[in-house]
Amino acid sequence: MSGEKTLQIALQNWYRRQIVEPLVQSLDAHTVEHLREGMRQQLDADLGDVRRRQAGLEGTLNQLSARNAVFERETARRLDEHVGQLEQRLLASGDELRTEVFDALAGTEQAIRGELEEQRREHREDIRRLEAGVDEVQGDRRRAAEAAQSWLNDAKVKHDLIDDKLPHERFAPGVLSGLGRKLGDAHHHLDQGRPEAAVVTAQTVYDSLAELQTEVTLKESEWAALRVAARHSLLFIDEQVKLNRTSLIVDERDGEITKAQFDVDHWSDGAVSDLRRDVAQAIGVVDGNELISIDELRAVVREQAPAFAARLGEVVDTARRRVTAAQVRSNIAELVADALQDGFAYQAEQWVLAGGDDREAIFVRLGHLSGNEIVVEVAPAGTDGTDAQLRLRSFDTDTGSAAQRGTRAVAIQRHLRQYELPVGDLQEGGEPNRSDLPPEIRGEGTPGRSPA
Amino acid sequence: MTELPARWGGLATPEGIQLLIVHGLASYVSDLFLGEDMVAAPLQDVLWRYLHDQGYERILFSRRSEEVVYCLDEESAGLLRPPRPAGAVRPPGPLQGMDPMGLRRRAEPVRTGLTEQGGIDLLAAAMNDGRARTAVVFLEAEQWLTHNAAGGVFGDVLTTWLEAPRVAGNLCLLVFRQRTLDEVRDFVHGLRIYPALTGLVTALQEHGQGHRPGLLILAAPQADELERLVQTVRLTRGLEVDWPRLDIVVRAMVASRESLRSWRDRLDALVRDGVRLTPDVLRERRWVPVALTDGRSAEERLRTMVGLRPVKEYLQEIRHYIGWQAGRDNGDTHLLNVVFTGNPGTGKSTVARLVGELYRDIGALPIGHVHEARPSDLVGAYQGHTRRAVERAFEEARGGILLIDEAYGLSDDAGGPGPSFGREAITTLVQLMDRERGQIAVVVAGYGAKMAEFLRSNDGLPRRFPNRIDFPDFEPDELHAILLAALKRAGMCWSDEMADRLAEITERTHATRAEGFGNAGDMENLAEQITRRWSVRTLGNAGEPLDLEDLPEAQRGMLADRDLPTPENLLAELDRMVGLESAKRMFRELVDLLRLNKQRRARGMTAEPVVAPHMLFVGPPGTGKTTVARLVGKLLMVLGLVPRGHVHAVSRSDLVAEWMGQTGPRTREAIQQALGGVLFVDEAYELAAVSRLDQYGQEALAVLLEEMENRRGQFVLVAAGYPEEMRRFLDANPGLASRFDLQIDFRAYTDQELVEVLRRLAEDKGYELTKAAAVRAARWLSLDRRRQGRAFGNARTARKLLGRMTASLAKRVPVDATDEELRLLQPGDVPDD
Repeated sequence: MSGEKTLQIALQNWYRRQIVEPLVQSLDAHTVEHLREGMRQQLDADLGDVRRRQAGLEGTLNQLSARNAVFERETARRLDEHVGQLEQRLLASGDELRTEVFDALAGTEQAIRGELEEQRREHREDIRRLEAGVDEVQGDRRRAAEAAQSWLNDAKVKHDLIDDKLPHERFAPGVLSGLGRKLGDAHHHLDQGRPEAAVVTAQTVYDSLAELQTEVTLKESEWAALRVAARHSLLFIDEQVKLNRTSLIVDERDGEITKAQFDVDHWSDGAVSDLRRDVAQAIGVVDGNELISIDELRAVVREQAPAFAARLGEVVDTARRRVTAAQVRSNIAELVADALQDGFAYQAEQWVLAGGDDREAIFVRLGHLSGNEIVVEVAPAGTDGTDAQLRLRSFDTDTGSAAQRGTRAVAIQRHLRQYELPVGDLQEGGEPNRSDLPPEIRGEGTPGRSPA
Repeated sequence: MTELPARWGGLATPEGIQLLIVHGLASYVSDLFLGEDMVAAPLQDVLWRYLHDQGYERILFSRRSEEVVYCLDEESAGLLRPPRPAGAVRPPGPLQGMDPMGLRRRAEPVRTGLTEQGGIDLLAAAMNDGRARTAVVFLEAEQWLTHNAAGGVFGDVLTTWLEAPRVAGNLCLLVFRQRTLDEVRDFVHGLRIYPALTGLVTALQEHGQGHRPGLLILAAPQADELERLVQTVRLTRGLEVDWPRLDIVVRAMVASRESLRSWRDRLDALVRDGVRLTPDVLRERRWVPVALTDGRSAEERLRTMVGLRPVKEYLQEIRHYIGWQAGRDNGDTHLLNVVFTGNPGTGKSTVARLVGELYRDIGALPIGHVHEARPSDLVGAYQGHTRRAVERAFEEARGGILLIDEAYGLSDDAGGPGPSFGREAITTLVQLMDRERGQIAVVVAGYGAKMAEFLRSNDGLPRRFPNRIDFPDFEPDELHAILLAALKRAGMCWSDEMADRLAEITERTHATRAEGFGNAGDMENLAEQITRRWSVRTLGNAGEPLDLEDLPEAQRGMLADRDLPTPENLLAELDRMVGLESAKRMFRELVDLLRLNKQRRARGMTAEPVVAPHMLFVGPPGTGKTTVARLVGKLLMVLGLVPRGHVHAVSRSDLVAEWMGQTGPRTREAIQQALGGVLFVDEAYELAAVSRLDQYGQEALAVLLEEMENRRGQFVLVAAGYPEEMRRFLDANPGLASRFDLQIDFRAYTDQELVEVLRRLAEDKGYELTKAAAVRAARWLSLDRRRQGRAFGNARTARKLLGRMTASLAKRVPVDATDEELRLLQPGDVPDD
C-alpha cells in the first residue's frame, strides 16, 4: 500500500436533494416603488406626447363638415380612453412586467381596433342613408358638386392633419402619400365634371385617412408603452442583479437558524459583473434608439428580460453551490483532522488554502509524536467543482508499515461514512511528493517532534 | 515517597529493566489496595503513584476493552501529542463555519477516542521517545496479546521494545490475570507469536523464588492492609472490634486469602447488621476456612467427632511436641507431615482441616488452610508440566496443608520402565518439601497397603513422613450413629423399630464392606437417598416418621424380611430347572456353609468370612445361564453376600468403546451399575478374542480384573460363554482363572430334556403337547441340533419351536373349536423343516 490514498466524495446528489428557498433575493418594497415611480414618470412623458397630440387635433375639428366632426370627436375620445387604459394597466401590473400584462394589453388594443372599425362602419352607413336622397335628385349636378367639394375639403383637412401632426411614416410608411394621390384623383373627377365619382372617391379617401389616423395613434401609443415596459423590466433586473451581488445562505435546522453572506460575483467567477454589463447594454439600446421597433421592444420584454432573470438565478445558484461546497470541504477537512487527532493521536499543525483562495483545495498538515506527518487535502472535484476529493499523504519517519497507513485510511473512510457522507472507494496513489503541496506546507518534516 | 502495601513485596526501583510483569488472581488484580495514606485505591492508581514516585513523567495506561490509551494526570496527557503551533487554527470556511450538511448533528453516534491502531501507534511512539521518561501499563495484557487482528501490530511493538529498544529508561508493564507465573508463561507461550516475551517470562521462572526484578505478584492482602481496613471501617462507619482478639481476627482474614474489596463488603455488612468483629463471627459467617461451621474451636470439634481415637491421640501428642519444638531453633519441620491411611469417608479430609487449624493455632503454620490435590492434579501430560503442576499445588498450599488424597496414584505409575510423570511428581514433591519447610505441611492419604507401596517408591519419602495415622473403618455402631445423625440433620424422625432396622442395615453393610468402603460418606449418601424417597412418599409432610418403604431397594434387600424368598425357596426354584446339576450342588454347599458359620458364631466360635464369589458360567447358548444368574443374584442377596442382587447384563460392545480412552470409563460405569448385584458378561471371551492388537478389549479386561479385586464383595462378576472359547480365554489370560471362585458348567440339553423344556414352556402358556407331538418335536429338535451345530440354541430353540407350533395351531383351528382343540398341540403343528 502506498503513502497516498484518495477518496472521492460525491456531493452533487446531495445538492440536488436540497429543497432550496428562492435563490434570488427579491427587491424590497421601497425599491419596487421607486422603480414604479420612474415608470409612471416615463409613461407620463411618453404617452403624454400621444395624448397631447390627440388634444391638438381637437382644434381642427371645426374645419370639418358637421357630419364628420361628430364622428371624429367620438373617435378621439375612444383613443384617448385607450391610452389612459394602457397607462393604468402598466402601472397596475405589479412589481414585474409579466407576459400576461402584455397579452392583456394586446387584447385591449384588439378591442379598441374592433370598436373603432365598428364605429367607422356605422358612420359609412349613416352617410349612405343621407346620400340616398342625393340619388333621387340625380341630375342636380350643382348639389352633387357641392357635396363633392365638402368631402374633398374634409379629406384634405384630415390628410394635412395626419401629415402634419402624426408619425405616420414611422408606423404606416407610404400609406398617406397613396391616399394623397387618390385625393388628387377625386379632385380630378370633380374638375372633369364627374361630381358623383368625386364624391365616392373623396369618401373612400376620407375613410382610409380616418383608419390611418387610428392606426398610427394606436401604434404610437403601443410603442411608447412597450418602451416604458422594456426599460422598466431591464431596470428591474438591474436592481435585482445589484441586490444579488451578495447573497445569504440560511441554514435552518432543529429550530436553529444560522446565516452567512457570500460574494456571488466571487463565487461565480465574475458572472454577476458580466450580467450587469449585459443588462446595462440592453438598457442603452432601449433608451438610446428612438427608432427601435415595436417587435424589438416586445422581444426585450418577453424574452431578453426573462432571460436575464434566469441567468441571475443560475449565477446565484452556482455561486451558492460552490460556496457551500467550499464550506463542506472545510468541514470535511476538519472531520478528517479530528479523526486523526482523536483516533490516531495526531496534532493539526497547519491549515492552508491553495493559493490563499477559498475556492481551491484546503490542506491540513498533522504531526505525530513519532515524527510522522499526514497532509490532508480536500479539493474541489466533479464537473462544477462541487464534489470533493480527499487525499491523505503520509510522510512517515518511523517504520510505519503500509498496513498501518491502510488501516488509517480505512478508518477515515469509515469515519466519514458514519457521517453519511457519500464516500467512494479507497484509491491507492503513488508515493506522496511534497512538491505537490502548497509552498507554505512544503517544508521538510522534522524527525521526532517535541511533545507539548 | 508512598509506602506500598506489604503484599507488593517491596517492589524495587525498576532500574535497568524494560518490562515489568504484574500478575495475580483476577480478584487481586481488580482489588483495592490500602496504603499508609488509608485511601483504598485500585491497581492503576497505586501503579501510577509508584511510577510517579520512580520519576516517570509520562505514565500511560491501556485497557483494550475500554480505552486504548488514557492518562491519570494532566502532565502525561499533555505529553501525548506534539504541541499545537500558535497559528494552527482551522479557517472557518467561506460560510463562517456553517454546517450545511448537518455533519455535526450527525456526529453523536460517532465514537471518538483513539482507535486501536492509533492507540498502539501512540504507545509505540511514547515508548520509543526518550524526551520524557515514559511508563506504559497494559492493564489487560491477555486481551492485547490474544487479540488477533491487532496482535500483529501490538506484537511488533512489543517485540521491537523487548529486542531492540530505541531508548533506555522507559518501562512497559504487562498486567496478567493469571494466578501463577507458570500460568503467565503457559498463556504467553500458548499464543506462539511472542517468543521474546516467552523467553523473558521463562527467565523469571528459572530465577526461582525470592526477589525477582521485573516481576510483581499481586497476592491476597496481608495483615497491614487488613488491619488498616478494619481501622478505616471502624473510624468511618463505626465498626465494633474485639480488640483483645483483633490479632486472631486479622490472621484469620489473611488466611482466607480473600480480596480487600470483599473484606470491605463483609465489614460493611457487619456494620449494617450491628455485629461486632470477632473470630467467632468470621467462623459463623463462613468467612474463614474451617472444617466444620458450628463455631467451635478445632480442638473442641475434634473431641466431639465420632470415632477417630488414633487421630485424637496423635494430635494430642503432636500438639505438645510441636509446642516444645517451636521453642528450639533447629526444629524438625518434617514433623508436620503425616500419612493418613484408611478407607474413604473415614474423615481424612475433615481431620486434615482440623490439623491445619491446630497447626495455625499453635503457630506451626502461618495460615493453616488445606489445599487438596489428586494425583491427576500433580501429573502433567508433557515433559516439564509435572514439575510445574506440583509447584502450582505448593503455591496454593503455601502457609497451610497440601493434602494429596489417594497419593499412591503417583507411585502406581512410577513402577514401570521409561519416563514416568508420577515418579517425576514424587521427586519434585520431595524437593519442594525440603525447600518449603516451615511454610507447608504435606498430608498424603490412601488405603493402607497402597500407601506403604507409595512410601517405598522413593527413598526420600519415609524420612519426610515420620508420622502415620490409621483411620480405621467405622464400626457398625459408629456407622449407625453417623447414619442417624445425618438423618436427623435432614429433619427425619423414626420409631425405635426403624432404628433397629437401620442398625441391621449398617451391620450388614459393615459385614460386606470391601477395601475402599466409603464409611461415613456411604452413610451420608444413604441418608440422602432415604430422605429423598421419604419426601416423595410423604410429599414432604414433616413429622411423618420413616418407613421401610423409604429404604432403597438394596438396603431393603439386606433386611431378612418375610416378604423375601428364603434361600431354601430359591434353591428349590433352582432344583426345578432342568439339568444344571453342578450349579445346584454348588449353591447348596454355599448355603450350608453360611448356615454353619452362623451357628458357629452364635456359639462364639470363629467363622471364616464368606465373600460373594465371582463365577464362570460355561456352556452353550440357551442352557439357562442368564436365568441362573438372576436366581444366583437373588440368592446371594438373601444370603446377605450382596446388598441388592440385581443382574446387570452386558456384552463386549457395552464395555468397549470406539475411541481411545473411553473403554476404561465405560467398563467402570458398567461395574457401577452392577454394584450390589451381579455383572453378567455374556460371551466374555470376546473381550480377548478379536485380535492381539485389540487394546480396547484388553483395557476392559484389565479394568474388570482390577475391580474384581478392589470391589470384591461389592459386586459379583459372572463371565459366561461357550466352553471351548472360555477355556482358551482363561488360558490366554494368566491370572484370570484364579480370580473366579466358582465355575458352573451348563451342558447342552439332551433331546429328551429339550422336549421337557418345550412341554413346560407350553404348559406355562396354557397349551398341552400330545404324545405324538412330543415325539415329532424331539425329532425336529434333534434335526435342528445337527443342522445348527455349535450355534444350536437349546432352550432358546425350544422356545422358538413353541412359537411356530402355536402359530400353526392358530391357523388351523375352526371358528367353533372346542376348548380341547384350542389347547392341544398336534404333531402337525411341528414344522416340517
